[in-house]
This record gives sequence, structure tokens and C-alpha cells, in this order.
Amino acid sequence: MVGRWWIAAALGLAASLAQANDGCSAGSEFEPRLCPSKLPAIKQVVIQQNGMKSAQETNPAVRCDGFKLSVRQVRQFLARAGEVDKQDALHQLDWSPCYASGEVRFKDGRVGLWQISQFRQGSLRLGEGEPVYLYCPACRDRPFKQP
Amino acid sequence: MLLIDKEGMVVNPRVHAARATSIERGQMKLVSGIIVHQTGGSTAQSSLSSYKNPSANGAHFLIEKDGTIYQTASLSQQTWHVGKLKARCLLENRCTPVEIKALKTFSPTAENKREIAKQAPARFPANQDSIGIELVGEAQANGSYVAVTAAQNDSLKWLVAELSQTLGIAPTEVFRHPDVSRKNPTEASTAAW
Ligand SMILES: [Zn+2]
Repeated sequence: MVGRWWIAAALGLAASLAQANDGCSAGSEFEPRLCPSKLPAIKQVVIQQNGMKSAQETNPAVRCDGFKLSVRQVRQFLARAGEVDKQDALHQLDWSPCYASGEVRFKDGRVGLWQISQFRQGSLRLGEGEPVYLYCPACRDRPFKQP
Repeated sequence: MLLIDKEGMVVNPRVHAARATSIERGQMKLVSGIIVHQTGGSTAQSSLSSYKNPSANGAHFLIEKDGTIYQTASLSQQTWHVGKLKARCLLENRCTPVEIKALKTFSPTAENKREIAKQAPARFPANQDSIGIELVGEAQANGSYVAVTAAQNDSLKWLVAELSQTLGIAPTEVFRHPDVSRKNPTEASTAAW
């Protein structure tokens, strides 16, 4: 337990050193700069699609039925994920063919459409315009694959 | 042959200088290949203005839908446009038993680390030794990227041929982004050079 506490403290220190004034991490060649998402508190999550395989995946051997998220895991993802730049989401992070999607209601009344992929990447669309791109390195539950 | 000035900028009427030093990530000593991308946005302007952000990432060239070519980073500088490399031996069916064993444990981070330790062309071109070309093009509602325009492919063909001839890049070392990293398979799938 002592060892674990020590590692957690060291990780916390490293994270705070890498953070600039805006609360964003510095980012590196293979890990995107991560900023606080500032999403409101969640009221309700509805899963509409689970264990889905992207239509863009042409390899018939790829299977996604193992990627099924629970409501609790979706809530955790939305609460823990940070926001990443679109360029980093598309170019730097790994794309996964497996995803789940659905709706989220926030306590402030707003409603959004979320999509979460197996490599811990997601997006949230609140109304018209560009979605918010999310990434959750802290989401380590089984259905997610560790990069 | 392209004329490249001492700053690493192409001097040619077809190439418009729009250098954003914010996306440059240190010296690039050697160029082993070219990676072709699509931006995910519908205009060159949205990419050019995002590159002004000090933490932004980008590539070396940007081709607008009408075929206009912008050079957005110096050719003597790296940009972070590739992400984690996939094992090249796997796609070319020449992995050693040791490599096959290591690949059985799914870990893109470890896979990338093993690849980066190799020299190209044993691995795919990486951030440290590749030129990135971005084609302006958004992802559609169904998740697929829009088709590359004929004007973009004309410009891409010219740029790839000129860069290859000038820098000695073999035709086998020019790739679409999803060939070398885990990306949406439709990115640049309609690009032709
Ligand atoms: Zn790309």
C-alpha cells in the first residue's frame, strides 16, 4: 500500500509539473495536450449503440462485440476525460473501429450526443457545430484497451 | 528538381509560403518518406488559423480543395503528424519470431517504441524523418472522409514527384496515414499520386 501511495504521489507531482496555467497538460510526441473539459454535472446517460463496429473498418476479422460499456462506465468517461484539440484527436491519437454511442442530459438542462471508442477516445456534440473531442487516459476499465 | 532555400522553404510559384513555426518540433536531419493526410476540416483557413496556436500540431504542406499548395513548416524541421507507428513487418509478412511474439500482446505504445528503434525502411517513416502533406477534407456525418478533389490530386502528384526527385525518396516510401498508424481507414483513401 505504501508503494502504491508513493507512486500516486509521484504521478501527481509529475502531472502538476507538466501543467501550464490553463490547467492543460503539456502534451508530448505521442500523448496529446489534455485540457479540463469543463462539462456540467451529468443528470442521465442513455446508451443507444454498444459493441458497434465502424462502417469505415474494412477488415472482416475485426470484431467489436467485446466492447460494451455500462452506463456507469460512460458516466465515468464523460466525467474523467479531458478535452483534446481536433488535430490531435484525428492525427495523434489511435483510431479504434469499435465504439458505443448515446445521449447525455446534463443538470443544467443541456443535451448532448456522445460517442466513445475502445482506445479511450470520444466526442460530444452539444447542438450545432464542431463536437468536443475527448480523451480519457484514466479510463482503465476492462472494455477499454490500454494503448 | 525543387529549389529549397537555406530555411528549408520551397522556392516555386506553385508553393505558397505559410510557415507556422509553432508546429515545428526540432531539426529533421534526414527524410525517409512522405505521409499523406486529410485534415478533418473543410477549409485551408481553419487549419492555417489553428496552426497559430502555440501548442498546435500540423504537417509540412497543406493543399486546399482548389489545389493551392501552402508550405506550413520548414523541410529541415520535424512536425508531429504521424502518431504511433504500426509494425511494418506485420503488413509486409516478414516479422521475426521474436517480433511475432511481442505483437501478441496488444500495446500500440510498446509497438511504436520497438518500431522507432529501427531505421527506415525497416519501419515506416516517422515524425523524425518524414514529410507530412495535408489535403483539406472533412469527415462526413457517416464518418468517412470526403473524396479528394481532382485539383488536389493534380497538386499532390506534382508535389510528391518533385519532393521525391529532390530529396531522393523512393516511390515505395510514400504512404497514406492509415497505412502507417491506427487511423480512420478512409483518411486520404481517395488520394492518388
Ligand atoms: Zn492524418
